[in-house]
Amino acid sequence: MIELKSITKKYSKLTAVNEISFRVEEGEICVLIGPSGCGKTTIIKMINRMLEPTSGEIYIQGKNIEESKPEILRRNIGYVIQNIGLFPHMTVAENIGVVPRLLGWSKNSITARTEELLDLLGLDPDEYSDKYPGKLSGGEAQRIGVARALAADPPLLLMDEPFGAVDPLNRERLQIEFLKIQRKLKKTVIFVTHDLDEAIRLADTIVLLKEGSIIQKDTPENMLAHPKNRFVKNFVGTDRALKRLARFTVADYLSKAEGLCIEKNISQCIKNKRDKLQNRFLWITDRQGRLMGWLDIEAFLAQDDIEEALTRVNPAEIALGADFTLKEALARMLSQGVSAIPVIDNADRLIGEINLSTIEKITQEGYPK
Amino acid sequence: MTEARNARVDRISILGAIIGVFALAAPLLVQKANRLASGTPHYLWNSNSVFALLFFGFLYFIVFVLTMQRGPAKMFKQKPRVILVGLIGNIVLVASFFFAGSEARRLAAAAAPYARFSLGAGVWLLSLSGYMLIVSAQKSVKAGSGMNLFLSLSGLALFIFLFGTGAFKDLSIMQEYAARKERFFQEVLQHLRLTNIAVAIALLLGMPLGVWTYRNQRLEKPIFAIINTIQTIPGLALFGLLIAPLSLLSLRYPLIRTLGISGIGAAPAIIALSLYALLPITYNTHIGLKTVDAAVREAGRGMGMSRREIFFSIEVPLSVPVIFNGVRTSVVQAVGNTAIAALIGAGGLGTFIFQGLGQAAPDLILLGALPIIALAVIADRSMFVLTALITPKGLKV
Repeated sequence: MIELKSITKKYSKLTAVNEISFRVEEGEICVLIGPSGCGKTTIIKMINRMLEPTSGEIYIQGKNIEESKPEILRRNIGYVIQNIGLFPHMTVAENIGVVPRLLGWSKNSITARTEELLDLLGLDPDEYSDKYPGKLSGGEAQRIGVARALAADPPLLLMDEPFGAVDPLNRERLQIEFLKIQRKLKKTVIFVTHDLDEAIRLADTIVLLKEGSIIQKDTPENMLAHPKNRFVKNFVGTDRALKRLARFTVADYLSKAEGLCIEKNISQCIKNKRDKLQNRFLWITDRQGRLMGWLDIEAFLAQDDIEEALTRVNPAEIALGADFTLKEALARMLSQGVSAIPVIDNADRLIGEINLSTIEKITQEGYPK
Repeated sequence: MTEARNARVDRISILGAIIGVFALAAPLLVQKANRLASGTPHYLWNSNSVFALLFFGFLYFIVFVLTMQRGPAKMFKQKPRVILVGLIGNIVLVASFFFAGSEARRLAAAAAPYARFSLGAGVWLLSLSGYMLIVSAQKSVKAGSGMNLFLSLSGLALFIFLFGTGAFKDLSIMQEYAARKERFFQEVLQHLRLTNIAVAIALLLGMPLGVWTYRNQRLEKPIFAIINTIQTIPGLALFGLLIAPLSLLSLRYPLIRTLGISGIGAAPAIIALSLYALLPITYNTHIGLKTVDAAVREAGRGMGMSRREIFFSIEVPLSVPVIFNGVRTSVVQAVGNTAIAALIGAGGLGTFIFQGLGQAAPDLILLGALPIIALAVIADRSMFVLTALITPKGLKV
């Protein structure tokens, strides 16, 4: 999809980018990361010709980018920057419509596209279309920034620390949303960040840079499991095993959960099952299969009273969704002091559980699957 | 809406009201036997119009009540309070002149035929007080809104109306006016003509210059050095400096002379006034463009806008409010500066000021000065409205 061939960028004395070559495949998210001054932003700006390389070539879909006029090239590349740069004198809809307008789309197709994108980003078009950027929250503004970059449906997206100015909580939400959208749209994305957790969450490939050179280019799993040298090791940190857990989702490591429906003659069921049960606790669901809580079997057998032995819980607080990462599952286990956590679907129905032993196994493996 | 929440009758109003209360003790009129004699003061309290005293007293009482944050004033919300104070300001402004005018009429009936009644310190202090109330109220009302405009100009409009009905007829300043009625309107028009031409030239030069200095960082310092230096030349000196080169030119080239350009008259005045008007326009254009958020510019470039598109659809609309503020400053300054133009024979309201200075006739000076103040206020307010109208909606949040 995009290929950089020995790109060098020199400023009088300083070499910002030194003989860099890599390629990014169609539909891949490639994250450029490294300490400040490593050249990551310079690289991204050379791809849409905001900067010209001193030497080397860049090909997008097999075509040398120097063959097109910079303005024309940029209209076909989505571009999101940290400070967003929404035009304050234009409404949200007008902001999103900028590139389509430059490309000469008809008014109707611009309106349709704008509404489609707002929907995609989870913002109600009726509410947001006519708002001005000054009235948006940071997270909303950043979503509009992404929508604006996607407006003309460019195959390639350049994102320069797009979530850097958002608070950590919102940043995580934006990252998750972005991944969801990316799964649908399958854009080729080059993403610059200095936040390792962000890189681990989003990247198909991480390119780790230092002083204008590539130190390691790898999948996040591999980079965390096998850092190439001391610099990488220091960069990914001593908790890299923990960080690596963020790459695995709960859905892939689900165990079968022992659960019982509360109304099906429950006492008898438990007594029948009791020898087969390995745990002291049993998940209890309602008739629709929704998680209600857990039952202490020993307490139940001692008193034969369901209500006494049942701990009712709020599923949203205790259980995890299947799209959570193992890192979050582990954090939940540690904070709750349990070794198994129920996993539920969108309707709170129990679909399995995730066990501490599974997580331990993954941290010990060099290669998980 | 947020402005309404912050609206509050503030300290300026309190100070204005205090000044107003003291003004009630100052002479309202000064009676002179003739134009040159020294006068005897007439006070509000020994005039027949005890009503006037009560009237002002009542108005200031309301202002004081409205500034209180507890007590009976709590019935009112902040915004209506502010508006009421502004309204009172306008009333005070007009009423001070009105009462002076009617008092003069009453006294004139009994006085000797050549007696003159000039405005006393009381009137000036009361108008100052009224103006302070207006200014303080206006700050809390959205700029460019109808209410803001109403607060700014209603008093002035009423004043001009009363002027038309002859309510001020017996004041000495009006006697000066009556003596040169036709001349007065000619000079008002000439004043406006000079000001407008000068500002138009400054716009045509200043805006491109502002863009130019913004585009070429290297030019910024030398060009602003020149324009700043022009600003520091005293008004009179600049007019004087232009006399020599322009007379020389018109002597040497008959064509220039036939165009009506010579060392004195309108030509040097307009050149000097344009030069003065240049700085605010150039500077604000430069700063307006410069302060456009770099991220916004980068986003525009990154999305594939050409330099032209970035300039016209991003930089210009975003700097419009700043540029127009500069234009407003220029216009108001030019209205004032044009007074000096009379000295080199260009005419305008300055004519009366310098005549009055020459004849030691304060009323004649006022006949020039008061309309200049009124014109400046009107120009200032109209530019505010224009700026508000032209400012992109998204920038007003």
